Amino acid sequence: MIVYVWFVCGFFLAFIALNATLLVLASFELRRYTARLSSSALRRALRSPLAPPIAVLVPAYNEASGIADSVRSLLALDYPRIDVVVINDGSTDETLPRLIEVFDLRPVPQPTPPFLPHRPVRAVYAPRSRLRLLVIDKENGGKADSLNAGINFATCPLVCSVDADSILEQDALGKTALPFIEDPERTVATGGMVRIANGCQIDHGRVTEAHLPRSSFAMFQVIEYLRAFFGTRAGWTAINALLIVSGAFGMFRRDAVIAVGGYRTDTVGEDMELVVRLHRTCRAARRPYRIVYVADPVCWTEAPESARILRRQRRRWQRGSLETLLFHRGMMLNPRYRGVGLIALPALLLFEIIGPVLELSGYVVTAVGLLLGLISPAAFLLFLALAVLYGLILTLGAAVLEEATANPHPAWSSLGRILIYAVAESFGYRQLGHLWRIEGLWQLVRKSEWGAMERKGLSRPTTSAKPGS
Amino acid sequence: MLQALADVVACLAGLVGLLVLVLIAIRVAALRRATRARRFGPAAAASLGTYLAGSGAGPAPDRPGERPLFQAIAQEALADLRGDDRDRLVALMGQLGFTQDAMLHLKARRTVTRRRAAEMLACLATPVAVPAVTDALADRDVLVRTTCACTLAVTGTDDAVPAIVAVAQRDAPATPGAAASVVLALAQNRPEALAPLLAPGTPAAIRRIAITIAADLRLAQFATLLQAALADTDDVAVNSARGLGMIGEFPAVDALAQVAADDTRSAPARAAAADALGAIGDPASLQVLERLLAAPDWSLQAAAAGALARLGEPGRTALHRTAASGPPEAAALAGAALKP
Repeated sequence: MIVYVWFVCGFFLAFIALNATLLVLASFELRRYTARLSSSALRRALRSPLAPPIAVLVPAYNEASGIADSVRSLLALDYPRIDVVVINDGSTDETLPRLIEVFDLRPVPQPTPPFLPHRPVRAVYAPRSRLRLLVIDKENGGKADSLNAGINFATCPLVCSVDADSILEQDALGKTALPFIEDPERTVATGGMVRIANGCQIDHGRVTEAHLPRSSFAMFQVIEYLRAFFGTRAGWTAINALLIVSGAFGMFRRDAVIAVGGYRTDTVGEDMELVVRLHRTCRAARRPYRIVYVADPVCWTEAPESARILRRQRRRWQRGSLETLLFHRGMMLNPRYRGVGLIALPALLLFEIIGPVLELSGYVVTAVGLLLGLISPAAFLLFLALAVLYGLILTLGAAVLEEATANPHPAWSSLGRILIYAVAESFGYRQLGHLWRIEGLWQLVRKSEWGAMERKGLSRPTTSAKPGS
Repeated sequence: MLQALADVVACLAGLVGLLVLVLIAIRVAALRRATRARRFGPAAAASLGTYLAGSGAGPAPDRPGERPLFQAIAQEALADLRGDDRDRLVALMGQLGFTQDAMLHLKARRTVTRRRAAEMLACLATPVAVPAVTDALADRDVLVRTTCACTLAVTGTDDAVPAIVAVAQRDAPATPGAAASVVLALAQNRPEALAPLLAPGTPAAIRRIAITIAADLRLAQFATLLQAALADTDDVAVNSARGLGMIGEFPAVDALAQVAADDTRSAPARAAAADALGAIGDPASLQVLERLLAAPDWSLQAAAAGALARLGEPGRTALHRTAASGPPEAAALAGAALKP
């Protein structure tokens, strides 16, 4: 019992120290970012011939209802040179016919490049017009497989993966590409902010008015995303140990992705795994590199509003994290991999994998301790207050950083709701999340199928915008 | 123990209260800015529009909070305006004291203030600010000095070129993007100043940037220097080959063919050379490209097939030959290249 209590105390102190440090690092990183970025500087950078062409990769499986709007809005983004590559991953609905009809596509003879392996391509389509669009129709193989096909066919030096049911803000590509323009040799990947679109007004693939979601589950996820993106990712960027670039919106150097072998298709956490592999390869080759989180290019995505779908999503994320850890266990505590090996991966193991188990077991032990009189009610209440207040401080710290960087919800009522949900998440939601994560660990042996996902334009949740780590 | 825990909880509760206050303060400030923008923004934009249309007196942003807003609107407008309208707006900004303010702020202690001033002067691009901008080339902040170097490339005289080049050279290794923007400004306004940066023997970091920009801007006067750069490292050769292709430099065909045929060069360099040969369209490169079509690397085969398709009839004949009897991958690429 004493050993357990000391372990829990140590764990809690480590958690506090790490998150407080990340928050401080994030504040420096975001301050540096906002001091650099001005609209005229951005415009000048994007007008220069140094702005590299970007291939926007859109893997699509049964997206007939929203695919045309998505592609239209992507083609209209503010960036000088964009190719949109849609990868139809063996859809069984009208996704391909809809694209052919709307964009007047015709089959083009295009041999499949051999750089990355993927399921066979059935046909390649291009519009009769001068639109920079390519549609690859391939056999079903999952999202990672589709992205590999897209990377193969892309001819631009940068590739940007975007979920078909996500919405990019008009200047998102430019802002995300800026680190590549500023430091083309070293930057290998960048990721932007993923925000929750539930409750927002959406018109023809554009968010016209940003609102907070009405659903409680979605609101709790707003708090999680806020903490993860502003409190954590910006901090990891400061020490070049960012472990994840969201699958919903991430930009990569194409040659770097090809050099490491593309996305792995045998994991559900392909986005995190790729980023960790990029770290591993660059560090092993002693090549200077940067993987950057950029704070304000926004990708709007639909969050699950039902417990059933949220549970499935969290189980997948947890499995993905653990799979990545297992694949790259050799990096753990290895000084060769600097911040990634010495801090980020151990933190992932400790706080994302072991943390939920420890916290839930803590509830049981505490309850037993209370019943047996081993823990006084006063100590229990104080420890509970400590945990809730610390969680609240992390959320508020992230909210302050968001407020100082780019806040799409300026109404006072929004701030009030965020504060209420930041307190409320400690009483039920967090525990539920931990439970689902533990389920995810148990499920590790099972493999997921892309085809099993339910997607229906922006009315269904996405699965790849993981905010954690 | 309990007392210590209670003290910690009290401290954390205090911190929560403090953070809420900070949050509220930031939000109040943001809302005040938004209110100001709503209140003055449309009027400021309208008066600026009227002034530029020549049918009104110049705007006079003198109420509290109005000046930063007007400056932001004018800065946005300056990015889009050209010709007389631009000159009139620059003159107006001078009359209203914005130019003077920016020149003063270029000496401020806060880096952010100096960066904003440098941005403002870059938008204005007025010769009045040349002395201030020249002084700022020695600024300790990379963004301030490179922004000022860009401005000077537009507004300065030929005497300023060595100082601008020195800034680009200084910042190229650590901040290549910022250095590239300086070289680009130089290339767009004084292309002849690029020559020393392109010459062999120039530090690799800046030379690589200069070659990329000369290629992107298709500066034909530097074709000989680009051709010489083909012998440089492979990543430099990629850009110089691309530039030679875009310029359509016939005399470079032999050198490009040599790179394309050289097994010791990287695939991207050889593929870029093949692309350039296709873009130039000289049938003399037929043999090299046909051989490349049988290379083991797919990207080389694809580049060769694309290039052959652009060589006209001789290239198409070679593609037909490969499509009919070449190895399967090359045949597929040749077949695809033959289709319109």
